[in-house]
Amino acid sequence: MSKILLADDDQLLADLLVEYLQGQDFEVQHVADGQAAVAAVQSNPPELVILDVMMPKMDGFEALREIRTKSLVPIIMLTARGDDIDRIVGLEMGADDYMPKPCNPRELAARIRAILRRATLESPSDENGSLNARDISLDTHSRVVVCADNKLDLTSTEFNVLHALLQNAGEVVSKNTLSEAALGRKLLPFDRSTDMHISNLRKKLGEHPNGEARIKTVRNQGYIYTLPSEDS
Amino acid sequence: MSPARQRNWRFVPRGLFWRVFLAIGVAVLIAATVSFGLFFISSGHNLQRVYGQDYSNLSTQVRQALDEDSMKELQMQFKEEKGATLVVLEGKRAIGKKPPSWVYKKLLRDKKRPPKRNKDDDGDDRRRDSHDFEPMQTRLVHNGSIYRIIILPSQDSLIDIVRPLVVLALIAALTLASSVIAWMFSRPLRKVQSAARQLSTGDTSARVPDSVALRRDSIGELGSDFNHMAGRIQHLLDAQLQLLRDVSHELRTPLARMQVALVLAQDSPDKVGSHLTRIEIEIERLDNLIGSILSLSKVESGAATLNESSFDFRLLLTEIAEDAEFEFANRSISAKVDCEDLTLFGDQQQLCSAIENIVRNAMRYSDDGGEVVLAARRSQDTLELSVRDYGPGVEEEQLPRLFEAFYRAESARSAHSNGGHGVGLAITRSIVALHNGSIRAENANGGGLRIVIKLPTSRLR
Repeated sequence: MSKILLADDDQLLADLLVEYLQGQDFEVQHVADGQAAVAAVQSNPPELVILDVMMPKMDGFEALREIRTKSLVPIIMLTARGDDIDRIVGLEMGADDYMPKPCNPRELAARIRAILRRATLESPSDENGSLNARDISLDTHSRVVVCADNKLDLTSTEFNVLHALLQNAGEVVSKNTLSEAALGRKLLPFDRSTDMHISNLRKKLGEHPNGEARIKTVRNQGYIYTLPSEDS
Repeated sequence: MSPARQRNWRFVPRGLFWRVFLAIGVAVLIAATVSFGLFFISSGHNLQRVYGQDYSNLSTQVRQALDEDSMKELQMQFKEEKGATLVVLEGKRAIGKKPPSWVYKKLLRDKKRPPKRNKDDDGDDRRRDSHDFEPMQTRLVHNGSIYRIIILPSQDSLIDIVRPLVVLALIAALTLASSVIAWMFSRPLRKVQSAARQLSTGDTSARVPDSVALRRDSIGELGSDFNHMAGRIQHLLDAQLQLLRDVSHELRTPLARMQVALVLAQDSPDKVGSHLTRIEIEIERLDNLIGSILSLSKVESGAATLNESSFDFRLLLTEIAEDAEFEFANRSISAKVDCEDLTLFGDQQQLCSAIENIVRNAMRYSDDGGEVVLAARRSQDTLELSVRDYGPGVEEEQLPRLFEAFYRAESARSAHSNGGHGVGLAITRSIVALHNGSIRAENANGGGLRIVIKLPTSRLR
């Protein structure tokens, strides 16, 4: 049973969600504000966190920032439907995915499962369990990424995106493929989640030693992990 | 300005700059012409007065000077006494001092355009067109030769030469001056105009720059008034937007619950009953919320009309208290009324819902088994109704915001997520305002919140 932390100030809604998710074989802990969520992540680390944006004391964004300073646990944000800014800000700050509220609990459960599955996924395709491209290496067993001799802290979603890019290093990978690989779902219209994960990855990876960007955007197609010629 | 009037004024240039420019230009030009004309006339008279009477005398003096060959002395004496230059010509030859070269040119020109004046018998050709600044001259026959005596009014003759320059300079100065003045008017107005246009495209952050708005004149006042207006519009629009956001958030809360409850009901047939009850409650809540929002917009827009009558105020309070007690019976909260006999004139139904909102709010935040006190007191010029609870109270800085729609004090929000939807107190405030009253909230001594309504005693019967 996967342990999930739900932070939402609407007690009635939370009760209903807890009841539903427990019926779906999740172990759910409910807290009513951001501060309690941060504390709960430390004292009783869950496998996934669901954060509502509008909460008293500490709102969802602040809680997200606090949690991210200490933990790479997968996080789903609950944002008001139609509020694109909330969505993008959340992803930018390191959330793995978002759900508009009101949401269908079945879809929420599906997303939780997809993210949890991918967070523990081991790629069966490469036997030795590691991917290498120049100065970067990615170990699918230990889920460790070493880039230019630095060990990187990546969220599981970022790890999955990078994994998909490195499997096809030097080739264009479509956004849809990335979305499938990272979140286990197809890209939705106006969905900017992969873009935000790529943006976060770029910040963490930095550039090639020759100053070239590691991940380039191919307009209307997707992204490419570049392999600059050695002599340049 | 109506379109018809605009059409009548079509010959006037459209831009403010050109209008001001033209108006000032024309005005200054008229003033200049008149004053110069006056100056010319008066100086012409002076000329006549100075020299006119001396002609016969002058002729004698010239004759004498010709005989004695002392023209230079006479000329010097003349210059000294009259401040003018005396020129004596025989044909083209100057006797005594040579006049400046322009005199020759002028005399030559005069010959081509002979004067139309009649000549006197003694040959006096007194062209004294003082307006035109012609030098005064006369002819003299002496010893068989014809001499011309010319008096050049020295100062005026200078103007004579520079006159075209003066006119040019004058026109240039006028153009410059009117441009500057017109520019001074039109430039700040143009800034106001551009801010107004920006605002009309929907950019509520449009403001007239301080360089205009801080001027201490009418244009500055216009600018600062514009900024004030724009600020007010921006505030109102922002408030509307915030209200819309709050309303949609409040509407979504019951929807979110219903959605989950629905899925739960579908998935677990054995518990359908309790989940359907939850959905029913949420539908009711949604309906109440929409009703509250509508009545709020009605009282706030001023569309609500007061259906006024006299009624027993104490009876009203007692009924409200009883209803509230009944509603919160499961938490055994009591409501006490402390009121003398009062008859009030107002809209009974509206005042009832206004007070009900406060009492419900107070009960909601009371502890189980708590107490709410409704006290009405008549003072010199006000009727004061206070509703007090013994709940957690509200942080001091949040007190004034309690009556804003959808505002809920944070402490209250977390403790009672089952609370109201945040519209009730806003409705109450509007209803009280419709009755010329005022409302405020304060933390009571010994804990709890007290909401005080003041109505004017003119409402008492």
